[in-house]
Amino acid sequence: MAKLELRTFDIESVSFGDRTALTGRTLMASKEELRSLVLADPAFSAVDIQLVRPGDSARITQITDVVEPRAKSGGTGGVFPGLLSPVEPAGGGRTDRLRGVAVVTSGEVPWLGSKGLFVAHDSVLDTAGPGADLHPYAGLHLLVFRFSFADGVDHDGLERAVLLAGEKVARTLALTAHDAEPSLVETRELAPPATPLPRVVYAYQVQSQGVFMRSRLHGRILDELVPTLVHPNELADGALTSGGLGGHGAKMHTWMHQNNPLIEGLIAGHGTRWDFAGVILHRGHFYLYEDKQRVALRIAETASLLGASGAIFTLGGAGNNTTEAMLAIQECERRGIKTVLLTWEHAGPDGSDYPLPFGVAEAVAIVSTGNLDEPLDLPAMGHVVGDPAIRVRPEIGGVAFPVDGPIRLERRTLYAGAANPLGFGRTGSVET
Amino acid sequence: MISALGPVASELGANRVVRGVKIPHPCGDPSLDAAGDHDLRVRLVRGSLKAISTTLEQAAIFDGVAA
Repeated sequence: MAKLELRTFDIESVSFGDRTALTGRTLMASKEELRSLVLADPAFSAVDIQLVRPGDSARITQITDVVEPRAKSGGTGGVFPGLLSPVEPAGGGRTDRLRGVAVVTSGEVPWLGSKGLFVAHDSVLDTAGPGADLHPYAGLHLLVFRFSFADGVDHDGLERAVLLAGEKVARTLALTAHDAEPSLVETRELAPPATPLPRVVYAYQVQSQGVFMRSRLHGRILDELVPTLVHPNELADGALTSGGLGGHGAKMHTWMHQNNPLIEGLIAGHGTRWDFAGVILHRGHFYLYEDKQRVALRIAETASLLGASGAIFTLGGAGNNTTEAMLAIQECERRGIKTVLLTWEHAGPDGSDYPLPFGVAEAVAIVSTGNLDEPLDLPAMGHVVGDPAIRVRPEIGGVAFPVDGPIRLERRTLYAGAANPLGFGRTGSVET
Repeated sequence: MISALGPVASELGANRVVRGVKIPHPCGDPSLDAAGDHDLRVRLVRGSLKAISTTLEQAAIFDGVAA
């Protein structure tokens, strides 16, 4: 089993300078160096790099991904295996992470005449005001890369280029920590507990249903994924990357996979409160009922084979992906495995509607992270990082929606991270 | 109700559920040629008419209509 030494370097300030280096708790980033690093990819024609500091009042538009700076400083392989680094054993050796800073990639990804689901969905993200509580990034130094895109690159190429750019910058920044003094050193392994404890699995659903809406494991696209078992340390090394470009409220950025609070909690309690048996990675939103049933059965059989007595579920995306999770909960409960589901709600503007598209009688423990349908009123921010308007309603080819003043979002899908799929922060719902 | 997700339709209270093709296209199949798709749609409509004229003691899912 993988044993990972995870070194955390707290970053207290970030500035631009003539080289990229870490001095104490201060990270200096060279715009020139980072610009040439990302512009080596011909998919980009230009990049603008800006810094948003904690406490700044900024509205970042058209977010495509958020990545925490991480790099390997010992052991085999590299971060983001299969995409940025070769396919080699991940989750062992030593990994360095910069805490307090994140790389945000953004830009108006061309729709190339497409409409509907399979385009990069535009979004906004505020670093102050009521919107700042809805995502985990407001307290971080955000290095925002806004890309312009070259002509002649198809959707697959654009998607890959954006993901790789965020990962390249993240690795480059984290490599500065190699000889620095860490704030925290943790050793992470799922060693067998000294005394038997209840075994718990995490059934982690990701979105992967086509271009701009897909995740990768070790670089491989997960559209045809049959549920598979993953060690949490692999995710710490970036083996799982973003659930699609665009900031749609229910999408998960790479940062969220790197810092999944459920995995952090399960690791923290491993060996004292429970025996964390691993992550069952799966996709939802299949179009055939039989595909949904297959996902449910494979999750339940895997959990059963691992001797799990508990399974925790989260959702990736929104809509009929609830069906896979609910059927899996049913199959787990039938095998005597207790389940908990953590989910957003589709409860209508006032929260009174039936909250989920599908349910089973066996799903008796559900934690709500809030209502995705509740309108969101956001005041104007001090400045906009990106375009002052975003594209909405891709199903009709796009309509410009100005975001440089106060805005009202009728649904929260336009707000990056608003569905809070993994339980960050303090959003939730109370039954009244 | 014609639905690709039979149990979801049942949960919503539909007494007679005819299993459709796929979520994005319950009543047809764009991967078939025009004649094949037409044939499929005729079978779905006929199967649905048969379902609606079937006397039931309890709610049922009619499988295999689109197969």
